[in-house]
Amino acid sequence: MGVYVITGATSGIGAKTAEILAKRGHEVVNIDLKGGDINANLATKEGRRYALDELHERYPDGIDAMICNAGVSGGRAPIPLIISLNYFGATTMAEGVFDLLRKRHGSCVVTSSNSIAQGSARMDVVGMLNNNPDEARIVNLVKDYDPKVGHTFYAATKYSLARWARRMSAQWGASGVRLNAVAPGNVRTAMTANMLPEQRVAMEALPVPTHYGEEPLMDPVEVANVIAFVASPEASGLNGVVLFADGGTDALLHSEKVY
Amino acid sequence: MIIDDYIKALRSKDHRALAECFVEECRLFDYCPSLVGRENSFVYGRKAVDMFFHNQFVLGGYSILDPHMVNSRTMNFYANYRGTIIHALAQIENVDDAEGLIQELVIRPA
Repeated sequence: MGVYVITGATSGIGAKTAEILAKRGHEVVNIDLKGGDINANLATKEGRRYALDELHERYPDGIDAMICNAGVSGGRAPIPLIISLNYFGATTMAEGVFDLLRKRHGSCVVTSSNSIAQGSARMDVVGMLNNNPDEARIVNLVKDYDPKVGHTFYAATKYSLARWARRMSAQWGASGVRLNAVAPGNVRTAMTANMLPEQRVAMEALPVPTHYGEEPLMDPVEVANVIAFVASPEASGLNGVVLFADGGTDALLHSEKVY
Repeated sequence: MIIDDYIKALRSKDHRALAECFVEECRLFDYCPSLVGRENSFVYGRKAVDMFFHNQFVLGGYSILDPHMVNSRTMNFYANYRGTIIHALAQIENVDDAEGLIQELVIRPA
């Protein structure tokens, strides 16, 4: 059985993914702000460094998968937190365990979002994150924005995260480490439970075809099963893929984008 | 006439009422969005019409302006794609004989 590391697995999609992997007999390591096997604030450089040091100390022979799932939604969270946790918290952790993944021909999965297809992402921020990822400068640039427009920054971090995975996947794949992104639709989590009224209206306007006429939020297990599969050796043919696990929302709204 | 219901649903941005203008196995094609840099729409099925326009009315910035019924199967109108206006024609190509509902509707630039 393998060693699967997952960030943000204390609740939501992460917790369900961890549960699925543990049931399959894997050793699961949850890195979260609290309630984790390793408690660290991945929105900070110090927290990431601590978590990476811990992983290297505990698993010198390598790990089988890194699932970068920790994230915060837009609407209430400060914009710098969205930037630091969603993008830098994921890419820094993934890059920081590359050597451990390589030792066991492992895989990395990052949690993106199907909001990347809705056209709401701040593409200027996407460009900065992907092309000039200077965290301090970007955070300073966005620090005064009203959290009410946080969804555009949230989508930007998730867009850039998916693009980062696409860009890095060839080199990583050729080095024996697969790198993919899973883009969930609206899922019932702690984040969605605290939505503002206008956020709920927007959420309901992103229909989930497989839930037509029902609660418009997917169950976390629907996404967790996909993440667990993409992270597993059974998905050895997948690399550089952004897999939409959204019940068909993206296909409904963008049927012509077959590639 | 079904075209009256269609226009009324569009004007009021009522996605459910709009879907009810169509038979279950319907087709709705819109060739105007590409003129404003968007993806043209190819929507199959009443439930998909419901969901698609729910999204378009709330998040897509879609609405219609100044609709004129040309005949029982054609509407001349301005399609508003988030502030960019396209003069368009909506043509009901096929209607179900039994239910009187739309089977196929195509929207083209006027």
